Amino acid sequence: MFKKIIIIFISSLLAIVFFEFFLKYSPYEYGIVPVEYHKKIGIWHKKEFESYKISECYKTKYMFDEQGVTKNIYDYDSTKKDVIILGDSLVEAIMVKNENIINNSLAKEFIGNYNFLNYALSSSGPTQEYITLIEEAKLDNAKYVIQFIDLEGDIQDVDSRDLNSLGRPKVRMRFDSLNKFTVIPPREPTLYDIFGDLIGDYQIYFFIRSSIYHFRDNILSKPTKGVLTRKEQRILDRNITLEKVLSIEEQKVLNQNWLNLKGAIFQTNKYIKSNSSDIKYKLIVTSENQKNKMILKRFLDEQNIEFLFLIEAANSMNLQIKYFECDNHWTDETHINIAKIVKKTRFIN
Amino acid sequence: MLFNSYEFIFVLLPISFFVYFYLNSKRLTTAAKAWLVFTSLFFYSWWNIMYLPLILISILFNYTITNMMIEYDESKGKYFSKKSLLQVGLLFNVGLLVYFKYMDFFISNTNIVFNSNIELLHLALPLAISFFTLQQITFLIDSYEGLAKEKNFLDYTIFVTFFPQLITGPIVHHKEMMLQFSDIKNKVKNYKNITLGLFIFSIGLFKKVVVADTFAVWANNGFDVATTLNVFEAWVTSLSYTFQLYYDFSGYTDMAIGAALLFNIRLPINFNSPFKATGIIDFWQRWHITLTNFIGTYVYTPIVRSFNKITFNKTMFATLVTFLIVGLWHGGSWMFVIFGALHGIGLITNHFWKRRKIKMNRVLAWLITFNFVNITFVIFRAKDWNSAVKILEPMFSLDVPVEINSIQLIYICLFLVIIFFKNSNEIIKLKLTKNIVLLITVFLLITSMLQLTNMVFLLNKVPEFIYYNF
Repeated sequence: MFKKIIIIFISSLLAIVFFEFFLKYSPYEYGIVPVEYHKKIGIWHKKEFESYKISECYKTKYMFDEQGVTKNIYDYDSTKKDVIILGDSLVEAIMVKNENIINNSLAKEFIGNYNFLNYALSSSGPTQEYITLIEEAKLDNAKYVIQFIDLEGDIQDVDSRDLNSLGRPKVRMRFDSLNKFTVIPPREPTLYDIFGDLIGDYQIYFFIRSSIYHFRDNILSKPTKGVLTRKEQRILDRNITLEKVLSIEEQKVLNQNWLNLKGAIFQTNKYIKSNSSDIKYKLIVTSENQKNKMILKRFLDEQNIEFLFLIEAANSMNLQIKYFECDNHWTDETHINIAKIVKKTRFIN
Repeated sequence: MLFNSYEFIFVLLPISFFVYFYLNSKRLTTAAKAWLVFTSLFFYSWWNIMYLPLILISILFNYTITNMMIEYDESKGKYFSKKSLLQVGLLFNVGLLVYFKYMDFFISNTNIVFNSNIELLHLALPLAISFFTLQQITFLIDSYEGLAKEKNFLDYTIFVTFFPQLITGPIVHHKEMMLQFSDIKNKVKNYKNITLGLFIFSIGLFKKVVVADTFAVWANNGFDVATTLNVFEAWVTSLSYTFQLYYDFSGYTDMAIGAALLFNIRLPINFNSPFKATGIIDFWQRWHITLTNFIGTYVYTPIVRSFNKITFNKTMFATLVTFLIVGLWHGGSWMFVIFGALHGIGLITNHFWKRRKIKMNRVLAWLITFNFVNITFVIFRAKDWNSAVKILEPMFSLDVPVEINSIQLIYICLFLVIIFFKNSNEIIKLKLTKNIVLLITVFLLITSMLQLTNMVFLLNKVPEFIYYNF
């Protein structure tokens, strides 16, 4: 009997090893995890790391440098000023060819005038980006901090509640006013996170994660935010924010999220100015909701923060903002166009 | 219900197995048979319960006709001649097939020929209709010729519906299966058969879930998604489909054989390394063997017998007609007719070759046969002639592709080698120790279940077997 158990164990182990190889060398490749635990932000890109981002509409090689920042196509030049870029997965853009990602597209447009440093991180909102700026970016040589706001998505991302227990740890901020806030550090990694970090370098990690989500959402019918595609999430976000009649609870959450979003922008500006008054903080905003845009515009005008509504700017220049059909991330062309818009509007001089 | 589904592997198969042997152990053999009929019909209805009455009517009708023939033999029935009963039976079965499978094909061709505008019926093909109809035709003819006899309705129903072979065969003769059901030794659990059955089932599951469904991704991409293909992509598409079809169907057959063996029933083999064939005659002796046997016995032989004088040319004519029927059996499409015609011509060529006793190098013979089969499978898979040309034309282009997908290349090369290895029928005959069998079975089952979960996650359903469409 004991011999049989040993045989079953060995056989199971062999099957799992074989399956890992099979996933890697078959049309079912998932890719591996690009991030690791970061005790201040929650997650941060693996350093000196490259792999493939794979979905049904792309298979793209991405690479991070020794700091965990999207690799530039040129060498850092300390004689030139830095442009720090903040944003979420639209800007992190590991599905876009490295040479076309916004930092490299901007570098091509501005022909070596600046060092463009892309600190964008997926699943982040302005609150996480504020902490990222403090923890990872260096402002000593910076001239600009450009933050991309994907408004409908970010209103959800700044939620200070812990919504997704299966999601990766994430720093959160809860604002009582623009000046008064609490930083809620990322939770300690659970066994699930530790296991995830251990096997994150293998295809089987995404397979297990997808299977768990699939099981939970299709068998147990409990959809979660974490498993929605970006497109689904955007539709959901838009519907929530466009909803005319919100319950009292939902309205309270939405108000708090707005305060968190504004607070994060306010504190980011304050932090930058406290480093140097010469650094310019500017926002590039994407939103399809007029009401949200007006709320943000009013706030940014009050704070004297320069901003650009991306879709309107693109329309006025006859440039397109396109998304990958499978997950609604910006395409290569969009990144190139955004760089053109930034150049043409003299958003960066 | 699909063999490669959780509900079959974890629910229906184990429950039907345990209850069947439990009832047998209590000497409730009739109840055990009834249970097997019930689980088989449940297995069938899981797909679409709408078709349950159809299979029941077919069973009832064929059972009645055959019993009337038996009664005729026993001089009880004198109202109809035995031959007319056979004709009625054949007419019913062929009529059922024609109505559900070929009606729209006939209507659309009638519309083209006579420039008419008869509306298509758009009938959904009832699951397994081709197979349970063929199986009952064999029984009908065997009964007419006095080779088979079944008076017990329950036994007859098991013969038709026994779930391991109900959907896509192997096509079995009454005698082959029912003698095993009546054997008292087969009514108790046989651990050797259980081990062997699970071993064969796991091989089949692996073939389907890991191999066939992987090749399906590339085949479907080439046939259904890509608009133009280069020479490399065209060969990858055609070879991927060839491997997909073989591993899908032979995987199904292995699962059927394995599942049946759990019940101590040995089903006939359906494949014997067909891609090792060195001629088209050889190929059809190795590919879908039970269909070839059926066609040989019940179509080809009667055609040949109908000639006053049998000559070589007449037998070749019978071969061509038989293979046109084989092609058409797969469905109402001219592509299947062309496929059948090409194989008929291939067989005739092979017979001429043999008759003249011309010798050919075995490697060259294999190469010609394999490529012939591969090319005809493109026609078999294509929706229409243009889709076939989309693949076939670039296969013979001389443009060297700039980029080659190395994973596809590795898979194709690997499987071109693997086809020369021992097949599952040969593997089970090897004297493997129990521990090795356990090791391989667990390995194949776990890998297959992981990939099955992967497929369910990606497609939100379990991929079907190709032959479910026929």
